[in-house]
Amino acid sequence: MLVLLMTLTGCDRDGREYVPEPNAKFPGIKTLGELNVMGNDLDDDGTPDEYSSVTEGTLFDTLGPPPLGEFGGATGTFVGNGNVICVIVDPEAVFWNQSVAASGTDKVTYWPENVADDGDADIEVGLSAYYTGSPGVEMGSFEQVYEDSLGNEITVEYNECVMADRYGFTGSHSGRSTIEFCEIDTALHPDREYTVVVNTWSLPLDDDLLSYGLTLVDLGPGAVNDDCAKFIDDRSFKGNRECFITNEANDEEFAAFEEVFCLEVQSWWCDCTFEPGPDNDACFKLEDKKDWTIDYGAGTATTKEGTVLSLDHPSQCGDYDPNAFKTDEDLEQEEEEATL
Amino acid sequence: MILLLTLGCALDEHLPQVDISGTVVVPRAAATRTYTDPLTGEATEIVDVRNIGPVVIGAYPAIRDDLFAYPHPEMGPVIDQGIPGNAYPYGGGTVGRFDFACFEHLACRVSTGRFKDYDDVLDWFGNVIDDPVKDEFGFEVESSDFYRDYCYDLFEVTADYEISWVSGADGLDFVVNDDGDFEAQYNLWQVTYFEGMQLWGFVDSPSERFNFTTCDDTRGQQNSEYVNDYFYGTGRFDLLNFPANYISDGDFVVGMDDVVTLSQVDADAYREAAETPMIRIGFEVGAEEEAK
Repeated sequence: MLVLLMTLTGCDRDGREYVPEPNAKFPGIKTLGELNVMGNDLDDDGTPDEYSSVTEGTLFDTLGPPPLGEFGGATGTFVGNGNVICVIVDPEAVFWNQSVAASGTDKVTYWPENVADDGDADIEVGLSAYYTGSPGVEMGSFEQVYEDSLGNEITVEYNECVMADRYGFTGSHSGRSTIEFCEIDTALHPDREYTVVVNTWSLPLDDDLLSYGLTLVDLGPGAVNDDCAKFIDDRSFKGNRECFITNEANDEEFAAFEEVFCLEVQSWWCDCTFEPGPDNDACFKLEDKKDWTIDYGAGTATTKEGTVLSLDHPSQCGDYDPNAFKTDEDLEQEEEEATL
Repeated sequence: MILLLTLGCALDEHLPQVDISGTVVVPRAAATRTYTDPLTGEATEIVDVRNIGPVVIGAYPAIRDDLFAYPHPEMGPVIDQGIPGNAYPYGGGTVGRFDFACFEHLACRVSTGRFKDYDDVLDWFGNVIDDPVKDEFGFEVESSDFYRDYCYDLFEVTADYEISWVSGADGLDFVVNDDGDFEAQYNLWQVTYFEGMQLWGFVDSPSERFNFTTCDDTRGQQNSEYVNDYFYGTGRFDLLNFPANYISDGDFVVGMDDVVTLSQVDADAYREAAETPMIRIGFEVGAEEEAK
């Protein structure tokens, strides 16, 4: 009887509480209108002007949860000019795989990443005439049905955006928090309207809001495969594509941390801010190897480039278990030493 | 219990897919080529099964004669510039497939069902094509025993039957029929059946240097032993979907008069009828232009 009652109580659950509610301030489905297309004459000399140019030409936006049971995302349009257009989206925040080597841990990635602040967005681009969604109301696709002469129906994909994963394999996704991009050759359909679709792949767990940056670049006529990737790489700090569109999370703390990430010292920084002090080996390395200046009294650190950072532990750093890499013998030895 | 289990063997799943088997006939001209002796300039016409490249056969909704200069399956929408529309086949297969004949020199040049043995290959490339088989060091392979040893070592096999392209004297795909043409058995496995679908195909004839457009020498298994760095080559994966990409002058396709239409109402009826359609691939691409 008790078992039966317990079973019945399970019937009033539908899992709805695990799905985020729509947010009135940040719609889950929205239209971005006509999108700005940047020229391709940006400097690639690594100067701040170059990065601010990208920032000025980028559309920054935030998507909330879509209504229950619906796909979320945003759509915008541009008119083909016969050139090749590079479409780039960078969802918040930054992502790295934590190195879990037992020894010789990688200096860049030994600290875990906070996966709760990561979102993911994918892009599709095609002629607006083929788009089946209603901008701002309902997401759709570029799939159309072709019927052969025997009446057999075949779904044809008119999405022209071929994304690649981090290794360059096409037809894949780069993954969470990582930029996605593709080239759209408008030579076949000049003066026709194209629709860019930013699909909400996953919302960050911490606030259910997906911030992202969306950039369109005119690569000129006759651009070839990989020109888009080359354009991004040439204008990304240290060739790290995460550092092409900056501060996509539209948040001061994130902007500061992204700079640290682009300098490839995020683990030292997470470690140092976890327990700031001259005894902390990570803080020492930042000063010794990276020429940073750390003022423990003021609670600030100044990078070699002159950026002043707060020593408050950034939320982009994941929870770190200092004993994670220690063996049982190490822990026993530490316990004995503490006892003595 | 045993009776129940036995009854399971009689279950007819009424699958919409059928296996289509029959005879494919290629004209004598497809097996005939004129080779010129580079030393004497003497032209010799050679009729040989080794001249017949892989034969590709597919089942399509319809065949049309207004798309290209030769009959071709109907196509879906053209999406990319310069690329024909997808022909959306219901299924298909080949008679003969590219198989790696042990040396890089032969990648994409040898099909199954065309060569009897090692001597057959050495003779063909050495005496007919005038492009003797060479090993990775550039030395001519003259001995069939050495050839066999090399293949056994490369593929780690111990018998000829483990090497697909060695067909044996009785294992060639094509034989000469009463009309002097060449015919072979074909099998198209698990073709999705639609009433009225049509069978069509083409023969990929070799180039002057005995290469084939239907083979991709940048794919397949990679050999990186010691100084080697090449691929074994493999048949292109979209031959049935985009045949026009690989058909060129000198190839043969099924002519409009020879297109086979399957008229059984559904897959069950086709299986019941046990048809063995005969496909004739007799239309030479480019021949009309040449005649003009």
